[in-house]
Amino acid sequence: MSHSYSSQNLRADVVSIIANVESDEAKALELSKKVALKVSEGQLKLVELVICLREYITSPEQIERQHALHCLSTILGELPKHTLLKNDVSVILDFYLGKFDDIYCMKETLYGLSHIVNMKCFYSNQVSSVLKPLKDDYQSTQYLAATRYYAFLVLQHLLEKFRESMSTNLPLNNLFIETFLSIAGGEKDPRNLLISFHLNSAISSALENISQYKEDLFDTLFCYFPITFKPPKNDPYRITNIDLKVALRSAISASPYFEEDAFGNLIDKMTASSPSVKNDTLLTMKACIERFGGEACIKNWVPIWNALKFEIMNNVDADESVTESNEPEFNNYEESLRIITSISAQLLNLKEGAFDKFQSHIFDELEPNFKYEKDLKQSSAILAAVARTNVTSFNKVMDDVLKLFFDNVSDLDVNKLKLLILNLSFFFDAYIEVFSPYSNKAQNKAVPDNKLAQYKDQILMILSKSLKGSSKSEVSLRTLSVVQLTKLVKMPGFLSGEEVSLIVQYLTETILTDDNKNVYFACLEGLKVTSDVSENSVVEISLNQMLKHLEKEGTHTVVLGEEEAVPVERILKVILDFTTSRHKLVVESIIGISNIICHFSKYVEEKEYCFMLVSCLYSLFDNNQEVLTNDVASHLKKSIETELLASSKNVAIYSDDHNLHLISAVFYFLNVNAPQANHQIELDRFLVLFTEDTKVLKSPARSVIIFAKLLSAFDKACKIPGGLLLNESIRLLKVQHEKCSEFEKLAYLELLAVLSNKWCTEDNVNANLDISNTALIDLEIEAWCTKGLAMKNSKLAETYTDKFVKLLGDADIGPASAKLFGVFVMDIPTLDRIKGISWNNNVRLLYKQKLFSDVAPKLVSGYSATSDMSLKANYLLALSLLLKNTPNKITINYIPNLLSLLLQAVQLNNSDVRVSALTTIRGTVNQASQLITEHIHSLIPLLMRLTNPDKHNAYLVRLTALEILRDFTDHVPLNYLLPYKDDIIKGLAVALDDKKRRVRKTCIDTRQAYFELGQVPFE
Amino acid sequence: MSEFINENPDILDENLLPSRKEEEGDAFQDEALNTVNLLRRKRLLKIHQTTACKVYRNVELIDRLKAQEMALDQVPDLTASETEESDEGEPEDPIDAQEIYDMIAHISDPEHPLTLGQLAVVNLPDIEVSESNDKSKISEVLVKITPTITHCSLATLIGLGIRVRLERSLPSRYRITILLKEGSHQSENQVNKQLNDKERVAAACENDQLLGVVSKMLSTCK
Amino acid sequence: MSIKLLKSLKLHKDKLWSVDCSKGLMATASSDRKIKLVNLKNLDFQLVEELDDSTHKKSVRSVSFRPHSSILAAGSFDSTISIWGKDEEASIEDGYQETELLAIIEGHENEVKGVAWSHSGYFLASCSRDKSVWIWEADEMGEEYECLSVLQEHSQDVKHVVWHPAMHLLASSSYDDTVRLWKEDADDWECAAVLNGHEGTVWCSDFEKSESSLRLVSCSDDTTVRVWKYEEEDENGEDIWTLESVLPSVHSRAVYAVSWSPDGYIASVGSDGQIVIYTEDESGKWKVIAKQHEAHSVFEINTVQWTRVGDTNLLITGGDDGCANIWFFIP
Repeated sequence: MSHSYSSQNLRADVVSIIANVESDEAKALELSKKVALKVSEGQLKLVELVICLREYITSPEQIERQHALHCLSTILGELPKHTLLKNDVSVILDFYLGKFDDIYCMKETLYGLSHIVNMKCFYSNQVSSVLKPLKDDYQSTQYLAATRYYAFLVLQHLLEKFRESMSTNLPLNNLFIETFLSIAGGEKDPRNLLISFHLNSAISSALENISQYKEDLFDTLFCYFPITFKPPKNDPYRITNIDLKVALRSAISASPYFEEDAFGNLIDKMTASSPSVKNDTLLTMKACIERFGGEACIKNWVPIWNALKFEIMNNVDADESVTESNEPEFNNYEESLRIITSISAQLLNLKEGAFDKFQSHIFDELEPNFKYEKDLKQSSAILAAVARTNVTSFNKVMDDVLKLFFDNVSDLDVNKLKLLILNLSFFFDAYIEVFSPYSNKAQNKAVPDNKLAQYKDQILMILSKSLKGSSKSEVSLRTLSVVQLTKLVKMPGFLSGEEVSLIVQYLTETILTDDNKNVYFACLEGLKVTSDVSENSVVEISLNQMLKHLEKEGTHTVVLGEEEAVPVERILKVILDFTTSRHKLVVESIIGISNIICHFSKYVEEKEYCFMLVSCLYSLFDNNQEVLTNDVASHLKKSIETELLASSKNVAIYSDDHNLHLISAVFYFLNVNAPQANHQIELDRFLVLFTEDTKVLKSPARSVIIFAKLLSAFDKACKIPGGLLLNESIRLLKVQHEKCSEFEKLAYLELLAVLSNKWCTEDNVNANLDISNTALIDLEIEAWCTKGLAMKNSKLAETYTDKFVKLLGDADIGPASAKLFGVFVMDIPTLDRIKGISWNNNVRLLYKQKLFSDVAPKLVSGYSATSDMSLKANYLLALSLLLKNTPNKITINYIPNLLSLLLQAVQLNNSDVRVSALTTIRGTVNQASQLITEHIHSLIPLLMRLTNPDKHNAYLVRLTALEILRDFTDHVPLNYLLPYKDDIIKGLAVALDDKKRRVRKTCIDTRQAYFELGQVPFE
Repeated sequence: MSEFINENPDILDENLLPSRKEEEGDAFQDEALNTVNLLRRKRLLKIHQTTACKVYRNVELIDRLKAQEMALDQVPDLTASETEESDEGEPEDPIDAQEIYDMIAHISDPEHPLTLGQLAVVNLPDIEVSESNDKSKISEVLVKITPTITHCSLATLIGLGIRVRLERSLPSRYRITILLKEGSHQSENQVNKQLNDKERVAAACENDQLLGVVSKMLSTCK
Repeated sequence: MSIKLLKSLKLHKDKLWSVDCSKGLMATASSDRKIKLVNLKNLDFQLVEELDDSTHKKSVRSVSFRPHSSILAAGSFDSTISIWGKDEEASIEDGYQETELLAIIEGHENEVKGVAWSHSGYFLASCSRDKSVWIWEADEMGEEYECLSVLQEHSQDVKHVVWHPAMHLLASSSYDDTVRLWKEDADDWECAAVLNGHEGTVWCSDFEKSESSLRLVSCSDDTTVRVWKYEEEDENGEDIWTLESVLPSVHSRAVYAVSWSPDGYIASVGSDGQIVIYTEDESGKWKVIAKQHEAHSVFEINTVQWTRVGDTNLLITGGDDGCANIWFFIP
């Protein structure tokens, strides 16, 4: 006995392990590890351990026995597999086998055995000694799930370790299977079932002589089918319903020996009414088919086919079930079709003859349907399912089917035509499935010639006929044919380039001339899909055609080939819709439209036309940011900037506020996306252009807006004389603002905002402002500078906002300064943040939050400080302007303090104030109704008044008031609201006669909500 | 694709029912709008389909800022308590047949999961509105309904549903007449007489069970 | 000649269906399930009482005062009739006392649409959607009611019943487009005559207040107002009534009520919101002498009644706006 670890030590450890088995497993485990280590290091002999444990293990107290044995088993578990030598193993094994008669310790015993059998020196000749008692002396039904688990574990370990030796030793092989069968019977516990299923499939796929046991093995599986299981809360093993289903499924499909039993039983289960059972059955059947192989299919496909046919044919409104309710997690219709596909796959792998039998059998059964036009949809779907297996099957099926379709295609009426196309579509899908491997350009294998291709011309003829030949009222037919034409384009190698172009031509003409939504979107989708396949054809045919229309003449509607007038708006809409994020299309449209603008900008009478073009151009940039990479941007800059800049001087643009504004935004887009490296150069170029050539800072010039937008585009790291520019602009405004038009004034003010945000230090700004000034123009200048500062959370901004708050108390300039509060938080595109661009301006994400939390309380106190209603009005106006441009999630926290002001604000004689106050209230109702609930008694009468015609109840006031009343019914507790039900219904009768249709509509909905309020739903 | 196809010719596709073209009017609600701008806003909508797009926001902002700039030095009296009738500036959308149709076309049939519009029980051409522009005078609405089958036992219930919906939705100055379309029903006259007997209708509306059925029919109205 | 609005009383939240006046008191019935009493004496028009509105579960459709008493009968869509009254001894002077519920009369299968007391106060007549007219005999106190007869000749709902001002002669108007006259024969009641001619529901009728002649005016969904005359009794005791005249057509929609004034004027009201007053210049020849448009703004008018307060003739109308309008008519 070695000194380092005395028997005292051992005793101490053992005692404390036993003591902790239940109370503190971790502790027990840790000590067990320690002891195990001693053993493996040879400082302790297993015998010593056993001796030390003997008195407990033999104790009359079953608890003591259990704990002791558990202790020993755990230690064994912690031992490295090779530690115990032959003798130790056999000794300890015999010891454990001896414990089999102690039913109280069965768990610990099996636990131990599960370790022992893993020992290196546990040999195959010992296996049966473990199996026998398990088979004969162990009655699984007597024990708890936890105990039974170890029995399975023992078997699992044995099988993993001795698979080979078993399969070569038939008696052992059989013994093992029998043992498994005896312990697996009647199992209910999910964890044990899981392991049992795994064992079962391992046995049936790896061991010998299965045929003898197949019924029993199968029964121990199928008696659980279809298995469902609701995991309990905090289930330690995290076993899911799916785990069990899958395990069972793969066990059932594990071995071809199960073939007869499996198919027979599954087909019976097909009659189940529950969709989930049916689904499980179908999936299992599919698994079986794929695992059991062709031979099995040959034997069984007839009954399977009949079952499936029944399922498919009686599947009410076939695939609608999916498209309609979004989560019928089972689509048994599709699964059934899938099975048909797998059967044909198996048969084909085996031998073509087998497949032919299958296919012709099905075809013969379905053929009559095509004569009598019944269940056509399903029949086609089935044949398509056979076809989509592979090229061979596809051609075989096409051989039979296409005849049926194209026998008499002459003089089809609309419904027949619809049906034909609809049925064909299934085979188009099949085609795509079969031939998509050939599609990827990488290894462009030519698509093998196929039967469908031979009918290409007829198909194209029918589809184009039903599109071009049908009246516009045939929406569903036209839509259908567009959808299918699109599908043809998607079919790899089916169409020639010319044919694709032809389709693009059709789609283009249709999309420009057909007003129906469905048709429009179908065409749009078609063009998009096509541009994926060949963007060029869309650019060359579709886009160019449209651009040509636009080039014709101005605002007057242009004329298409077939003498149909197409409004310009439509063309531009289409261009915007189908370019989305398609690189080449975007670029080409931008260039195309820019050129057209350059042309028309010269004619004053084309202002309106230019407006449409420019707005479209703007959106092309705005919608396609992700396309506008550096390279694209610089490419565009090269190709259009100079011309556009020139034409921005042209009358139709320069003299028009909108056009000039929007086109300057285009320059913004061009430069903000251009490579940063060139920004300084570009910026300098423009500085010269605007400050020295055109001198926009010397005397008022409309083009300053372009300058402002450009400045906002460039990298803020660029060097520019910010202070100077600011100073000059301010001086210009102060001295010459009478000469400025509103447009120019605003342009310069925007410039100030940009400068003070990007290129001026606080001192720069401060130096150019005089806080004591109260002239209107000074206030405006300060307001806009403050905006620029506030957006970067500058401390200085606060100084000025404070000033404005103070001015609200001033009778003379109070109203004006109140109005300027709108400026601080108003979002101006010039200072928008663009996704992925951080360097063009200093807009802090939370600046509104900061500003609002800083100013709002001051407004509240200022409001309550004065009793003069006309001054109070200033605070309310200021507040409402802040609210208007501050997102609700920010303001919501302040509502409790603001509510009383809001209730005042909605009574001010100013529609805008009322609207923004109402909007805030509405937001509160929807996001934090509890804040409102207590106030509805005062709110409801107010809101009712706001729904009536009155000079200051503008459209939006009336509308929002009604919407709030309606939202009450969703958010305010019934017991609060019910008392008002009748009065609200009566009171809203006025708004039923509102001037505005939409108000009336909303009023009707609101009243409806109250009629139903508290009404018991009738079933 | 199935949503495009409607194999049952008796049912009209929801989005093929007669409907009002995009309610452009709604979008333009700021005072800053002169006619030129209004025209432009309409154009923008035609092209971009939504007022939610940046370009629209832009144009709106320009107009708004300009208006604000002009009004900056004016001091409106925000507090005077007098209220005047809404200014005439706001154009009036008259109540027309389409509006009536929209009120009732989405009522669902008591036995099908379909709307009266889809089943062509109510049809735009069978709605007459005689609107007296003076709101202090009485106006009239006539709706002719076409039951799906000439012996439809539910004709009266459907008619009642329509009447309740209209009485709840129309200003009180409207007199509502609901008739079965000539020859569309065996007992046309009885049904018509019932549907237009105010006393019977009033009584029906106090029958909770009936009212339950009706409000179920109305629950699909949009 | 003209009609002048004296007073408009917003009494109810919903349709006002019916009014009746007696001893300077006006009672109104409404869909809001309330019955209200208004004092007409010296044109005071104050609301004096609101009867317990928990009595009826549905619309109150019709009210009628028992002559020479303050007993009131009210018929409701809940198929019952309620009887109200107060201690006769104590008079208004010494304080006003509560009107109490004296009785609830059940019997009709469904909506009661009309109730009316005979001039004598012995009989109460009621009619209902169940197509029947019931005649009840009431005790002095108005607490006990015995059904004397259930008259079921009408083939559809009976909309309205009215008694002759001096005889035990009852007229009932019906959804079957007819008016039927009923009188006591021995100890039973029987149909004395059927007035055919209207081409739509007959909503209401009223007898001429005169000893010399026996006439009835009726109004209908067919927008006409008609006067019927009693000729004679034929050999087998059937009364013979003939259509004397169709009044000048003014109404453009259903006519819901008519009332024949003691001094010979006929007033009619209806869905088109008009009050029309007719007078007879030579026997059987009627002309319109006064018209009032939008008499209840844009709402329908359901009921009209002449009444006399002191020495002024008043015309009272009730409409869907829940108002009772009181008009002054200068011949």
